[in-house]
Amino acid sequence: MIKLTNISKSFGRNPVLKSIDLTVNKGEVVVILGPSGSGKTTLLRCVNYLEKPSSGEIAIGDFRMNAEHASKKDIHALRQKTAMVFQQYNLFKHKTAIENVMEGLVIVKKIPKDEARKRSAALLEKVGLAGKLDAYPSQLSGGQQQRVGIARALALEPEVILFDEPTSALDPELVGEVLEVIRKIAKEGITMIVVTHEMGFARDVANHVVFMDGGVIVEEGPPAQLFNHPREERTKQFLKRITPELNYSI
Amino acid sequence: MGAPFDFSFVLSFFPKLASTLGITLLIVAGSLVVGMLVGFLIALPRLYRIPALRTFSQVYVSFFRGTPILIQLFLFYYGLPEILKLIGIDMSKAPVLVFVILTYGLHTGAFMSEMIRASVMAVDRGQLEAAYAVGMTGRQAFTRIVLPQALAIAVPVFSNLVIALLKDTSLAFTLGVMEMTGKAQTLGSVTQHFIESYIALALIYLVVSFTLEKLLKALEVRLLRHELPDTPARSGFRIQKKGSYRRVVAGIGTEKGGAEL
Repeated sequence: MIKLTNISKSFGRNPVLKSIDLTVNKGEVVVILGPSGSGKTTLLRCVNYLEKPSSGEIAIGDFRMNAEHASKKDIHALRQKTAMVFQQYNLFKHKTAIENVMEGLVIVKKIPKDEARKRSAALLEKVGLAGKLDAYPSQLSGGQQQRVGIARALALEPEVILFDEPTSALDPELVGEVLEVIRKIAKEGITMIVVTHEMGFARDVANHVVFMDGGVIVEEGPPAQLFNHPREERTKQFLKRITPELNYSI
Repeated sequence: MGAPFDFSFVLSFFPKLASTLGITLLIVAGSLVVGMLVGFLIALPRLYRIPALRTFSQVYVSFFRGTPILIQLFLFYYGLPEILKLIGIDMSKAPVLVFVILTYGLHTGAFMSEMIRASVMAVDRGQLEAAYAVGMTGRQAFTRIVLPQALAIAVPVFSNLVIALLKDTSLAFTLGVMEMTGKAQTLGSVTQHFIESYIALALIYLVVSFTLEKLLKALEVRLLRHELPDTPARSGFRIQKKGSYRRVVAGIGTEKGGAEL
């Protein structure tokens, strides 16, 4: 279980997150929605300390840390429990697909190379890239790169995988293949926090949807409730704007 | 000036000059080693923004970039022993070559530090974030991810520095070091065939620079093998998709036409 308590973050004098509380149960897929500038990506990045929260507490399982006074050891421990899939993929450019997946296993988890290679090849096969093990990121399409990114995150066997708008940088025709992979691993019971604009995906895959605006959680609940019967006016406005098809039922 | 031009002297000077090529290359190699070490030490405070040391680095770089290498040679050769004498170290028996390598090393170090700083800063920040997200420590992220990519970016600049250094070492003769240029002068004086001597000298420098350039180019190709020859990055301009906006990235090269990347 992941528990964020009272997480706040300011950039200079500008508050981006205002005392956020969020609980994610084991095996749950939590989707965070919200307009740009609502703080959803910042919140996600606070979970693995790529962004330093100004205050609050982060707990994953038995591990807990004070986000304001975190030691290097805490941060390192936290990052070992999490993995991230980036909007811009951020594959290691100078390494092949399989080396990208192996890197964390060999360097961080100290798993012998042969073993790491075997596991990495299996994961790349799982995300549909069995034929691209030795390709460099520059030889892969955006969708393929993002699938390598997902395999890299899976390899670490983290307690939670954080997805930061995983399909936003993709050409529209490549979005499907990436979402399909995420859907597949969601079914395996891997805990995920996903920031996305893909409403269809959120509706189908999420167990819990969080709507953020202006640095606070406006409303949260199961997708059926949040999408069909939003309570807050702000949520209704947002959903109306982002899913216009709801207004034109045939 | 001197005896009438005779091409046969050019040929006969080649082996004589080539025998001192070793000294020239020793100065180059020694200075590169010193320069790399100094370059790193000078670059780090600026990369990590360490307050007082950072200012020192800036002053250091300004001094070595802003004054002629010839003056630096004189300052170190005549000035350093005087300063060291004050703290009781006698440098009068130290070989000239030590001063020469030290000066060229410190000089190159200033340029190296700028090269290192620029290359490290040129590595995409997302690479570092990905390394942290995978669970690497700061040191692992630097040595495994940032450094290899920075090296590839640095090679073209490094190549220029090495060739500039090779040519700069021709000034070491002013302190009486018998490297190639010193030898060429001596040969000229002895035979009175100055032009022939300098032609031979220029040709040797040219061959050595050309060889170094090709070797470093090969290194660059190897380090940049992840950037494939057929990727759009090689064409002059490309559209790069970045999130919700697109930007045009210009490829700027040193070659004519500016398309080589």
